[in-house]
Amino acid sequence: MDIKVTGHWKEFNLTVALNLPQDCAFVGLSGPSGAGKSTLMRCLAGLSERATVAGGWQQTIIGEGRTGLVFQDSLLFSHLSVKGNLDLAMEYAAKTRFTLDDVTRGCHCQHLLARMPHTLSGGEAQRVAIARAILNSPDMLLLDEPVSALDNSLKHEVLKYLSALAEKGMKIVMVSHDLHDIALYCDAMAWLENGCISSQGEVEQVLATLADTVASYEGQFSVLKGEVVNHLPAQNCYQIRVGEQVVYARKPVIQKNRATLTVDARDVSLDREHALASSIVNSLPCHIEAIHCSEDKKAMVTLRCNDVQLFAVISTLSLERLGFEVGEPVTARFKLR
Amino acid sequence: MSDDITAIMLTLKLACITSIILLIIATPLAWKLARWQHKAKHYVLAVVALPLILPPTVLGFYLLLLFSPQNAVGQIWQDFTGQQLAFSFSGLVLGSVVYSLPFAVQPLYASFVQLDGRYLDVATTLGMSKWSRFRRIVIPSCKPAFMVALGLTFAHTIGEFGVVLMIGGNIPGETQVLSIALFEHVEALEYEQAHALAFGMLVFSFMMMALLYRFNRGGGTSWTLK
Repeated sequence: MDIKVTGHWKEFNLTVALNLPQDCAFVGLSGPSGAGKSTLMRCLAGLSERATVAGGWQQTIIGEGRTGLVFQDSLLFSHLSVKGNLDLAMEYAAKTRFTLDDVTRGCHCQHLLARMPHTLSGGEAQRVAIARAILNSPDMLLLDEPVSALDNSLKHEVLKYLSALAEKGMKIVMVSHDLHDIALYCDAMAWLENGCISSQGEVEQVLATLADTVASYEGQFSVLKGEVVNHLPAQNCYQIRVGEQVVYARKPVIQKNRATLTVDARDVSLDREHALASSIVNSLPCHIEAIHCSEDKKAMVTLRCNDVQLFAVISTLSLERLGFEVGEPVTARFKLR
Repeated sequence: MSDDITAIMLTLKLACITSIILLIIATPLAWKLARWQHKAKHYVLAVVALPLILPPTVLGFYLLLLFSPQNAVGQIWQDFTGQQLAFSFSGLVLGSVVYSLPFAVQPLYASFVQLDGRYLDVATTLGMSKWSRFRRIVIPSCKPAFMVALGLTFAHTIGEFGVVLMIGGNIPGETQVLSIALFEHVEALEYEQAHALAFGMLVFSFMMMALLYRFNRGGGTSWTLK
């Protein structure tokens, strides 16, 4: 992906150069409010006359193929039923790549077809809007916070479906404030600030550069990836090999036997006992790479376990009592979730 | 009585033709005005709205001057059709179109302004052409406004008097519309016939407005897209 976007408005300038590996198919875009994410999406969709967009992504030259855009608000045509909205999208599709059944099933909106848009909840309307964009068979699909109104379980179902579409070759850019979603489903991400990309690349790398800029230590998390070793249905969890360690997780995102899970920094505890009989299932022997303290008396401890980076938020009281220091070996523990 | 029926038929014919012509003219005009951003926009809106506040006789007087064979417009018309524009049915139609223009433009303009432009952006990303967007999205979304514009134009044309009197005069079967026939009955002290026409107008106007308010109230699909 090699795309350049420049645009100038009265009080806002956008100068974006997206340089990500060509094989990335599902790209996450995040950043603080007002950074220009929605404006960038409009530019990529060719809806802004003031912007210059150039470049390409895989075989698609930006501005030549069909680009679908799902806005934050669902914007379903209120004079048409849900089916009417979807049929309209199919009627104007440049090519037919999807069937109504498959897409409505993937977006969990097959039971809504006869409804009128004003009777739908926010989450239902969002699912229909995503389905409408997909049924139009775009070469590139832009999603501006597409799952913000969905409950957790449906959100993951829809994101899994989008991820599967990306696997099959659809190029997707998704704006999200939820970095967990980006970490779990996207191949790469970019962080936009004041109309410029401040960081881009593999999700873990970008998240690491954001450790200090993420709003609070509470929101910090680590991404663990590994091969699924075993499914333990009796315990309702998966056994995953992460580096040389094995961790357990209830609902990791699994694609082609590779699992991805996120671990919130506030869920990680630290101790010096490596062979502690604890009810906490996951324990990783690490060493402390860095310690940062915040004004509200919290300490962010960056840990490393071979190739795996982990974050833990502990109180400065614990830090002083235990006297942790950089370079020290510790055990990081987090509950099975 | 037969003159009254002729006047009623002529009035309905005038109102139908005026409404259709105005819908054809007002739709692109209102659409352009709704999307147009320019310092001169206020002046153009004011010109379109002028017939709302101008005494009909003022408008009628200038139209009469414009339609006269001494004027270029009247001259060109006469050269092409062989008939003069003033005191003719064609002149009445033209006058009515000018007189009722704001009644067609205003509801459409308001509806087009309220229409969230992002719906059209969605339609663009779906690959719809300009015309398709207008036909498939704008017209159905603003349907109540079209109905109101049509209804108001029709009702307003039926009720016009001053302009018609100035540019059409009182020629039965050609320019004598209902309101003028009524006026003539009153002048001749034929109150019974005048009452029949006046009461008929009253009932018709009430029904027309009730119908328009019903449309305006909306329901599941109201004036604007949600």
